[in-house]
Amino acid sequence: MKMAMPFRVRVSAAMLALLVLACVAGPMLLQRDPTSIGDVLAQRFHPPLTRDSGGWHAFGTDAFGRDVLARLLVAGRLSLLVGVAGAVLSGVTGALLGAVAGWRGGWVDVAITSASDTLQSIPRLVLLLACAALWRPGIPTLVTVLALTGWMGVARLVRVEVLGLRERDFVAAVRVLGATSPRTLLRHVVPNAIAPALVATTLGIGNAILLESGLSFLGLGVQPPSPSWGNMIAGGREHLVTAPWIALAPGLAVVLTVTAATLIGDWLQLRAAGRSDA
Amino acid sequence: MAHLLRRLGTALVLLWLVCTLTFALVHSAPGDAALLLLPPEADAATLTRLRAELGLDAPLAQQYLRWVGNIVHGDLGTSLASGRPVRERLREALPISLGLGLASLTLTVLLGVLVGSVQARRAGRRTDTLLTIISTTVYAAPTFWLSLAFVAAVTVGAAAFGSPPSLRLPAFGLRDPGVLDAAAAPLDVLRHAVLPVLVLTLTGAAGVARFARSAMVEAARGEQRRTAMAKGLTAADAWRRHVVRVALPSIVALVALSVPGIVAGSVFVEGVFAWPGVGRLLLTAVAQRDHPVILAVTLLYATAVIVTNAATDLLLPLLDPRRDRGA
Repeated sequence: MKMAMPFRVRVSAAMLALLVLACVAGPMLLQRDPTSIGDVLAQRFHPPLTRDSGGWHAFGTDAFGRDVLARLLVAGRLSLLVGVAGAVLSGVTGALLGAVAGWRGGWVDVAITSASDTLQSIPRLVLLLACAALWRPGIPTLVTVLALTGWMGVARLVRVEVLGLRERDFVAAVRVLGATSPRTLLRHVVPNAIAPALVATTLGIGNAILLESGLSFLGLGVQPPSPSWGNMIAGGREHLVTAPWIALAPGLAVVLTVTAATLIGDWLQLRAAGRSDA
Repeated sequence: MAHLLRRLGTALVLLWLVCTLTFALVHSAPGDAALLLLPPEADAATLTRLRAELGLDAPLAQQYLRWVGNIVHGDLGTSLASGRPVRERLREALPISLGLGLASLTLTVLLGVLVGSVQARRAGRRTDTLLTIISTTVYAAPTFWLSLAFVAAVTVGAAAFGSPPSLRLPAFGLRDPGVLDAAAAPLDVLRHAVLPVLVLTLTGAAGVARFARSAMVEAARGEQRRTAMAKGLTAADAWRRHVVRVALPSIVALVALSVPGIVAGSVFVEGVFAWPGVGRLLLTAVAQRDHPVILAVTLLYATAVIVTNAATDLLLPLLDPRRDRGA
């Protein structure tokens, strides 16, 4: 079913594309080092749209005199990367486990479903906090834990699809033609079961970006001096009263990204379900 | 009855699996409690002695059995940071969190269902689109950032507008140290609760509105609403009794499913507003690498989720207007 893209989805897509482009190309054009600290006393706390010896500061400077815009764009690379990597990895894990559970049935299904139910009983943030406290915080830990705690929803969706497809004639036909069990599953069943998983993964990107920002805000995600939207908000926390722009800019970046990703994901979901009330 | 027992059995098995998972998590991590308790310059003999004292030298299976046994008996261990029993600390923090959680959950459901209903009645029109964008934006805002924005608003904002100090809201803590009068104390706590409850309600309601709208749009498509209108009910009555009522079970089910999200939100809100509940206890424990407290809080939250899910499963059939009343 084909449906016209609503105006807000088009705006979201354009905004997201612009943001990604800015984060990828922006730092090269700005030619500023987002981590180097110069003459702190002379350069810190410049409000947005001011200039000094270092040039224009469209979004102002922070407590160490670093340009907020330059940091925002470099942070965006990390935050988007962690969000997308976390969501895609959990999507792939979920699709594989869900497909195997639905296809094999029996004790494999019971084991995977129990693991999924167990992980879903613990709030994801709490699980992430516990893991971050137990292991060394950093980007690899963050992505791994995001993937390990986010696969259950996708697995559930794919499992149900596979259970339905398993009994279909075309699957029996492929088997009769001599395809092995793994080949039938991967080449013929999974491609037909993947649509809801793709939608869920898209919706998961926003969630992963939010979780990353939360953990980095608490000092358990991306570690300074590497900027991420979450640890930039944490850095602006003490200067909320005197220099609100330091925490405002990264917060708005998160809100814009996640809103756009969610509006697009919602629309994809309705489209996949064939509903027109988008 | 058989159904009830089976559901409770599943919940118990799930609890046991969560216990096992958290145990495995702690024991697969580098380092142990003895290393955390001792200063880095401690010698090997002290380390061995402390490990024996804590029972960390026993085989893993034995440690596991003892740990599960202790939990069954309600012993959650001793906090590494404060040396106090974890149970005691939870007993202090839990009522404070429950108060915050229940107040905001009630308001969340009321506001969320109201907004979702307004949207569903005007599905596809401008009000609907506007509310969708607002609720998605609030839903997309990090809870901690929204909390900080409110803190800035009540401190700088209130001062800038020259509002009288008596109307200004406190941004941190549970009570003012100056308020000793027993009669004024509850009001003081209430004043401190306004901002945390507001943030939790806004973010929660944004999520509830999103799926309440969807459930009601679905229910409005059924024939019962048209039939009710044909019978002569007003549009408002038909909507309330034949759309909201029909969508209610799925809304309740989805609210139950969003309990983990509400817990996550409350951890941040308690952190930013220095609300001394379970969420703040968890954040402090994470910062101090206080494993027993982290484990106990994780178990507590998981228990809350499992119990909510089981209760919803059992109560949901009673809410469904289509259920067979003869049975």
